[in-house]
Amino acid sequence: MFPNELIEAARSGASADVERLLEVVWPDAYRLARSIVGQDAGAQDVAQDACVRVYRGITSLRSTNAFRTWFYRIVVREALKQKKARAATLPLSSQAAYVEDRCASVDLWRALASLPDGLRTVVVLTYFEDLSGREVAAVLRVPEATVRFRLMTARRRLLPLLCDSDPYAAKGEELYAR
Amino acid sequence: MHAELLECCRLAREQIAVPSFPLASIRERLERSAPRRRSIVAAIVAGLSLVTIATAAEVLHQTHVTFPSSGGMVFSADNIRYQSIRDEAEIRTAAERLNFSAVLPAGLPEGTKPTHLLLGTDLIGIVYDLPGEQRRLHHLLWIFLANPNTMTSADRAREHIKTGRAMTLSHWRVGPEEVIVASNGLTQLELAAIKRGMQREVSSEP
Repeated sequence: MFPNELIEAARSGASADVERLLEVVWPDAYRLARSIVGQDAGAQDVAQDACVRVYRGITSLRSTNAFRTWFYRIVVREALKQKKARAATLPLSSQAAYVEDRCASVDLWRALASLPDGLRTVVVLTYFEDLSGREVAAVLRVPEATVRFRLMTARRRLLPLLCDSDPYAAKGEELYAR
Repeated sequence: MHAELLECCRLAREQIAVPSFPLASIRERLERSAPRRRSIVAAIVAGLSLVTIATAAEVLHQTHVTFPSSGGMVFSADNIRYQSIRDEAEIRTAAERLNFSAVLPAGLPEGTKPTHLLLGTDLIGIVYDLPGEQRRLHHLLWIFLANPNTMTSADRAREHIKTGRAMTLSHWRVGPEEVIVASNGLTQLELAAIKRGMQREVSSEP
């Protein structure tokens, strides 16, 4: 998915190489940011800030293989940081409105927006970005078991919103709330 | 259900319209959010640790530069002025006021920008901002050009502004002046280039 030779070249710190890599990973950064933040304008900011962080830190990356996890972690952190900042400044009505902008899968976005950040991030990394449980755990720096539990809880909360009601949803919510 | 959710998410992901890669904006952010550079005052305090400042008025009327055996550099000077500068021309103008014929720094890494000047009559200190992301916090370069007559033994230096161990110090004599370079951001090759550059300036003088 991410070309190793580009990452290897970028690790030298040469601007041209880093910018080439950023151009390649930009769509992934934007999509991930958009999925977590739920808003186009916010996603632009998050993805750009993440690119700046990659730009700054790529030379200290210990290996090419670590890039994927490192990169996703940066985007997730930036996205959650922005969400938190915005939650503190926007009125609730504005926060509810942004989930519907320019997206065809309104139901899914609305359902995702109803999840707490911890659950939503796991869903996005797993289903949108196709990361394994182990990779998600590495990105979020939590145990794999936590990822599995969050995913299960998220699924139980999402499915009734997207399909028919699920009798286990309430149980999952209750467990996650603990 | 799981497969449906997976499919639904993949579809939603594909439907996200990705804007074109905003390279210019990223460069601008990169510039704007440069690692917070220490203010020049903080840099002086950190780099040149202030040990004591003399109270003896008679001593303050002279300039002394010493290299004590414990390391670092000790200097004192009267009528020192500290000012920000924008280009080399201001250094040249300031150097004309010195009471010795100064050979200005040459052979600096490309992109090095002068930012501040410490100006006395026997001593001029120039603060440069070294280019390159890799230097991060070690982006400051101090070059002092001192009148060799001000070089004294450690015993005579009663008042001290002393360089700490935070900065790597090297000094040499070129033509009519003592050159003292303090920086953690310079490589040996770059330091050698500065020495060569200044030596060339001296040899090319008529």
